[in-house]
Amino acid sequence: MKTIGRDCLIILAAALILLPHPSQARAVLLLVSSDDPYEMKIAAGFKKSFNSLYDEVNLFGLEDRSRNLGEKLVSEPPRLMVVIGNLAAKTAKQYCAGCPIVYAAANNPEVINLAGANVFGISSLPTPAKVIENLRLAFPDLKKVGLIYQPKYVGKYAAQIQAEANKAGLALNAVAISEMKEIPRVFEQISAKIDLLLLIEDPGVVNDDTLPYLFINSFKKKIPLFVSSEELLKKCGIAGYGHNPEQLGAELANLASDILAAKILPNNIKTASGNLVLNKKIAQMYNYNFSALANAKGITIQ
Amino acid sequence: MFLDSLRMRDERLLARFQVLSEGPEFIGRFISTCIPVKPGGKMAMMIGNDSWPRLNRIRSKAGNRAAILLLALLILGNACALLGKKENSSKVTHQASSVRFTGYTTTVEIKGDPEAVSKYLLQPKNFLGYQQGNLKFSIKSPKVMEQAGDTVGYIINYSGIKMPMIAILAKYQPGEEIWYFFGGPRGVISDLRLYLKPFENGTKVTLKYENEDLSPGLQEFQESLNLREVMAIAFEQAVADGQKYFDPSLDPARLLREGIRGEFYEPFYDAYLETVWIDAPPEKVFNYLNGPALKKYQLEYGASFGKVLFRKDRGPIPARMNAGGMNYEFLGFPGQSSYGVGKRGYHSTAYLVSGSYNYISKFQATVKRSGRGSQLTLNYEISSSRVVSNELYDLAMLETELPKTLEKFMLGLKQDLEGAK
Repeated sequence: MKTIGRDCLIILAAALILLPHPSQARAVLLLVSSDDPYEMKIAAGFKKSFNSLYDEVNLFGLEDRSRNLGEKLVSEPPRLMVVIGNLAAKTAKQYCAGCPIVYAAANNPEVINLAGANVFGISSLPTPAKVIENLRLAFPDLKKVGLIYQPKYVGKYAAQIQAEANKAGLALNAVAISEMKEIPRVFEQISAKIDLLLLIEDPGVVNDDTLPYLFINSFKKKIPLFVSSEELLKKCGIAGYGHNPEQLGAELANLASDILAAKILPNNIKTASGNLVLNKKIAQMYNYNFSALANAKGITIQ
Repeated sequence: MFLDSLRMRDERLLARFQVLSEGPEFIGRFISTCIPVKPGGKMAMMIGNDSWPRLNRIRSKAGNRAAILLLALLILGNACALLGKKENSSKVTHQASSVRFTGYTTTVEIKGDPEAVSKYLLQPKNFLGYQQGNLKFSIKSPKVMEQAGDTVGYIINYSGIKMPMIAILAKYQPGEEIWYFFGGPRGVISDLRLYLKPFENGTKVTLKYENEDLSPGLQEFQESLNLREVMAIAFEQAVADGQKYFDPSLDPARLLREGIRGEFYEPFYDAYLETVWIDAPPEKVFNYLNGPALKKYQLEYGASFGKVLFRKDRGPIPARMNAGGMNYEFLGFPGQSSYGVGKRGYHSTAYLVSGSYNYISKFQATVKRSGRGSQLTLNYEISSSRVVSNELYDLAMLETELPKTLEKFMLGLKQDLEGAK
């Protein structure tokens, strides 16, 4: 009997240790914007790799839920907010401005104004050098590239792309716009001067409404799109340099762990690692065959 | 309270709009739409004075070609627009441009099952019963909509200016999708798409509203009305009222305490204009388009359009096409037509919707006298906004091939008519 009682006590003690203490329950809050498959995959990658306790809330794309959660965040802020997607990032910034925030897939942090010493994140934008390197790999004979961008979102990044293109001997025709409605006019303006259009994750240019327009009108002029994410690639790109969302989630988990362990400097924005990805379905539409080297180094989808 | 800030800033613009809204072209422009027949699909409603078609392909890679031909035949069959083209020219002129729209989208959860929410959203008073500040919607015929093609008239009263409008239920798939088209002054088009899906113990409803911008000369007026914000607030109020209807514990004012819940977006529409001069009087061109001669094109391309070409029903009118082993099924609505009115010649609008595509199109044709002959103009707009990737490839092919196909048809028509002289 004594042995059984002792075992029970041990099991109980272990359970108490493993179960989250009420005060710890909100230490880390994983906040996901929606049930979009891309965001869900990032969340899955995070959950697989993150070893500390956390609460999870999915806003399901509902502003009402963001507002309701906001009231709780104001009164009971978590120690760290891990946010995936724009609505989650906006919620964190709006209702928990003092909390440390680490984000992923928030592609318009400047609009959301996610900046400051307590903001960390993983940018979905690959390094400009990688973009140009992989562009060259997929299209070795390419000479003239177009880029439409909004400086307020990606002005600095576009300048870096321009510098890398110059180094690689590519003529980059980069045109800045101030509103989306300029896209048709600017596209018409540059389309005769380019062999390929580079699409980066610029919320001022690329979204679910502009993407079909850009793809259809590029296709009509036989101008392929090289994109900066796997998600864009699946939709319309002939090739691109993109990351795996689950891997991005794992990197997010590592970053969050480092923040909790105070192993990282404030305001640290990392860049997601990625691969060259080829969309052969689109390549067929353009009658384009990738080189053996591109096929060997790239990942093929579709 | 959200509308308290809405005030006319320019009385001259106000007066200008009044003239426009009471103009002869105002009412009765909407006419047709098509409805998809995709099994278990979505439902949609169109609101509009000017209608929009949706093209749908049931299956195929080759379907693009068949769809193109069907569209071409439908456009030609509806007879239509005339613009200026050189007399005796043997060429078809092409123009491509883009049309600007403003969009607003918001997503909410409603504590009712999708079927019940669908029924709620079919009642005009639940989406057209808006009244706030100096803006009021009055429903002229407060019936319940039941099926695609049903319409309801209503009046928008803004600061004493009355604008007669019409709403068309363009697509209805219970529990999944409802589309409305709304008609406004001078054929300005707006559409409201409601996407429903089961969510927890209720329904998640995503609303998308798109409104064609006025012409550049009238944009100042549009901005002075603050239309973007007015409509966003109106729809937010409507959906908040709907949330309360299914969950009386909710307070719409509290739901909207921090303002609108959605976001604006900017959809793009591709617009095309094809024109040809024909050495034949407009009456002859029109009769040819609506006569038995057109059947040869239908036979050639294995198409069967029923009465959609002749506007004898209000729609939806089933149409189908078999080409290259591919089958296409459509539901169409005849559009507004005017025949032989003064110098306007013959004008017609056609709308197509097909089940598997998620885009909207409007087609207009005009036949007008030009010198000793006629000018035939085909004008069409296709929305690619929110088209998903699988549809995107087909749509890209379609938009690439359509001008070429229309050119063939127009030249064939020209040859037939001129050769028959």
